[in-house]
Amino acid sequence: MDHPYQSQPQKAFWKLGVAEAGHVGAIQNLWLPKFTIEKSDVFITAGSCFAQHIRNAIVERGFNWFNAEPAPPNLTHDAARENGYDVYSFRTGNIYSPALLRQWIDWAFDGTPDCAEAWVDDVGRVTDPYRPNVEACPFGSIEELEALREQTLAAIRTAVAKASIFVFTLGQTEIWTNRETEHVYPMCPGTIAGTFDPNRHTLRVMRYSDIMRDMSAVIERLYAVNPELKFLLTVSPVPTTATATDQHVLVASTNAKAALRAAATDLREDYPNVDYFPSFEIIATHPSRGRFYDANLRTVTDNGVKLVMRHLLAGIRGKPIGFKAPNKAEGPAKSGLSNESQTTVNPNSSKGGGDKMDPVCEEMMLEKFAKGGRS
Amino acid sequence: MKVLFVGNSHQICVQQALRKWPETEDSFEFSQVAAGNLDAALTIVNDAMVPTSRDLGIVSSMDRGSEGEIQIAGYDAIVLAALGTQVPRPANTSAVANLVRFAKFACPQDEGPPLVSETVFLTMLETVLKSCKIVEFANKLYRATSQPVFLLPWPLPCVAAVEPNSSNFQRFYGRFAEPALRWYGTATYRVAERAKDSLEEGVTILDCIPKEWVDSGLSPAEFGAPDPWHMTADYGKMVIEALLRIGRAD
Repeated sequence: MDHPYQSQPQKAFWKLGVAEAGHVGAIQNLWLPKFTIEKSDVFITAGSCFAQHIRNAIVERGFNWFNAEPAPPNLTHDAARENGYDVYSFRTGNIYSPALLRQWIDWAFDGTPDCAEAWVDDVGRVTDPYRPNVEACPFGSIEELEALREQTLAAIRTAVAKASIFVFTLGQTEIWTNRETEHVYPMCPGTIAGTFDPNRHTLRVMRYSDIMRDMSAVIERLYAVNPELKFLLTVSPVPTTATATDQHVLVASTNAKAALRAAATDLREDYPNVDYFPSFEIIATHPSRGRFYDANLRTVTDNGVKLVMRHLLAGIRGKPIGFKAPNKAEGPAKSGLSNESQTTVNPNSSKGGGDKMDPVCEEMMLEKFAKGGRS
Repeated sequence: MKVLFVGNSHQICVQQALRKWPETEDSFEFSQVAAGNLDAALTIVNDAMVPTSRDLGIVSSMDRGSEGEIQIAGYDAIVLAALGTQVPRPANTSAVANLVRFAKFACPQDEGPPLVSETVFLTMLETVLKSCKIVEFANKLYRATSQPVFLLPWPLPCVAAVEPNSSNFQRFYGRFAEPALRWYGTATYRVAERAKDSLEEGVTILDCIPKEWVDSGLSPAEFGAPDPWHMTADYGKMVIEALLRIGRAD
């Protein structure tokens, strides 16, 4: 009697699916969409900074990316990005954690609670604690902050109502919250703005169960608003910049990615309108030999982003991923560090530089707090 | 001091002041360029031609220099008016009308574009000012003549502009009109400072009104004539005096 493995396709076997592909760029059928995705679908994007790459790539490739809070006229491209426009479909800044996503969604549909904060410094400059990097300069008043926050919440409602695909990138599990209100901050108070107060601010490391709870709440909430909305989850391959736990950052980062990655699969299994796209596997697992990371072993190279997008598009189109085998003389990366020269991504696959943008990443700012490090 | 004035209706106050100006060794030639003809003027200056009054769209009512060729060379200075007037009026449906809608005084019932922060608004205004044709014109005039070129800022309207039913602006913004216009006036002057880096070395924004006016955002009522958006001969005198101060200091 046949057993199940005998009828499995090549992709089900490590040797055929991965090892003999020789390069992560040649792995076929890495992702087959759970539901049909058309170029005409209305995409919205949010999440950790890696989500910006996805936004950029789908815009470059002519997908229908919906921007519910576009930059006002007469603002230059750079000025728009410095002020949080055209980065995501709404001007929340990076949403690193499911808990923060849930907070934004709850506030968008339930209203902002009265206890929502505004940080005012000694000279009257005002920062939004829930998106401290979204404006190039602090707000001039609390009223201004609140009016613009409400506008972003309206943009979230608009985006959710109009979208058919919500691409969300899960990034981190370490979150900072207010002990009293339990509101979630994207960054630890005192790092970008505000003042850290150990009596008011506390670290929480979200576990798998927390992630499932928050993401399920978001998915179900948004399904009620727009039953046509589908979720495409990704897990950011960008490691944690710094941890506030007593763990080594490598361990903390692995913990975070493991929990997020496990939750992504289970969310996919639990909800018919949720799929997972394996950008994390493409960049962060050992078949890539670390070659898609920059020298800091954290940020992802352009070629890495391009490869992720080629896998995404191959999956959407149901076609094999085109791949030119690397020159054998180049061999594998000897150091295991980034070595893009060995990555023969089709140069025609993306125009690259024209609209190339480094992601806006608040978390990266934590690097400056490292003692004794080399800048 | 031989000065050529080129500009739009905001030069009229200067013209009126010149009519009363005592005979001195300072001579002034006066021409007026309709804002809509700056494209033609730019082409001419760019091609190093001598523009004629027809080319520049000279308004025939000007009493001096209104006919024939305008020699742009040989002056001690050229004054262009007015920086900021090519930013369309807030009540218009133009791009910069939208800018003002973004300002923090936008009416709640205004269903125009969404709000932006004051900082973003100022950044947008800076972009608009820097890309004004008059800035380009000033830079090209300087390159063509190597003579100092002065940009006269848009005169701040006087408070009558925001009295009930006094203007489209007031009708559009209602009770928000005065704070909005004051804010906009101050912002325009302050942003003009930031626009200096887009000017050629020989192009200067003419600082001709008291700081208190800038802080207030509006001109005193007695300076507004024949309407709140245009200025009197006394204002024009301030412009000339500011120019002469610079000329004499040099």
